[in-house]
Amino acid sequence: MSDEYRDEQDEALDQAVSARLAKLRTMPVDTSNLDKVLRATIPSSRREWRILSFRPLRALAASMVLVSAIAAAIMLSASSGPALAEPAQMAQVHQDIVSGRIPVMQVASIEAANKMLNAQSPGAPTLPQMPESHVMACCMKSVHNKKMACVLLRDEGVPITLAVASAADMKLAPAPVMKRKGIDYRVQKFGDLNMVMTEQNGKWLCLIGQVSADHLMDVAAQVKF
Amino acid sequence: MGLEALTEEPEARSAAGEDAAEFWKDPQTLMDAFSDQQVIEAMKTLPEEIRWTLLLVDVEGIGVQEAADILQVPSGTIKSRAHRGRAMLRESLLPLARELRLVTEEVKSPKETDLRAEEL
Repeated sequence: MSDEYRDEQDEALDQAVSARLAKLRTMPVDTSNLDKVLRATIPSSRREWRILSFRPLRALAASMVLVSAIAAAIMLSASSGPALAEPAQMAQVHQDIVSGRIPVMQVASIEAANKMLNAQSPGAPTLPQMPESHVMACCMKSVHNKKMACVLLRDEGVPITLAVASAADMKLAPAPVMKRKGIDYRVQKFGDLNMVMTEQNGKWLCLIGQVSADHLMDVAAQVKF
Repeated sequence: MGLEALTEEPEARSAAGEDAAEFWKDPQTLMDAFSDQQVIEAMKTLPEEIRWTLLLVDVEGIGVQEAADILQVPSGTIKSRAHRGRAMLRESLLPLARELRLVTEEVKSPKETDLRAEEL
């Protein structure tokens, strides 16, 4: 590959990334707690030199830039209201856990999983009861900065991830609804993975696995709060 | 191609995988295939000074000199940080692109290509 071609390709890739980032400009952001986030994310010494360093005539323009940059920083560090987990993200969570790409804690019961998750992340969503023979490992994951407690289950040899979050943090995906034993499940598919989501007792539940949606709903039916 | 296209049936995605080489030829299409959240997650992995630079220059779209004034560094630093940051961002998104079969396993990141060049 010639240097010239490589430079051209590099430039094209650079422009593509730059153009993609520019599209984030249109994202709606919650600016209601700007000041709080400003104080929390930028050390005070840094805040001072930032503000003091602006020349008077440019202060307003620079402040505007700072405010929107901080708004973007908020976008990067926090989000408010319930988040929507996309199928691709939930599939990624499942694949990461199953493949061991992220650290998980081996556990043999839901009690042990809840104890470890709470030690790791105080206030972690509590996992519901499942038959002990199913429980293999657990970990905390975050989607859109919302905490999810995840437990890897083994059902007839097939790994299934059960993700639990507060219903105030995660919302159900706009997906086809299937009813099972009086409970509504949103059913989604990503590649060869099926996933079902539901809300029970103020908890958001999502089960993901390479099994049928019917089977996932059967497993979900064993969940006890 | 939007993220919704990634939720198509496996056959459709496989066809997309076969066209992976085309994505490198059209990097904009590849970048647009990632959702905002995926791009943001990748941004979060970058060092703070790089992230600020990309936020100002690319997300906010302000000039290099202005970004240099705000961050109090020479404009050359802003240019090199922006270039390095974009490369780091691509590097950070590459595993996801492979996972989503937007690129084939054969597609190497710039870092991997450099390592291979050093071996040779």
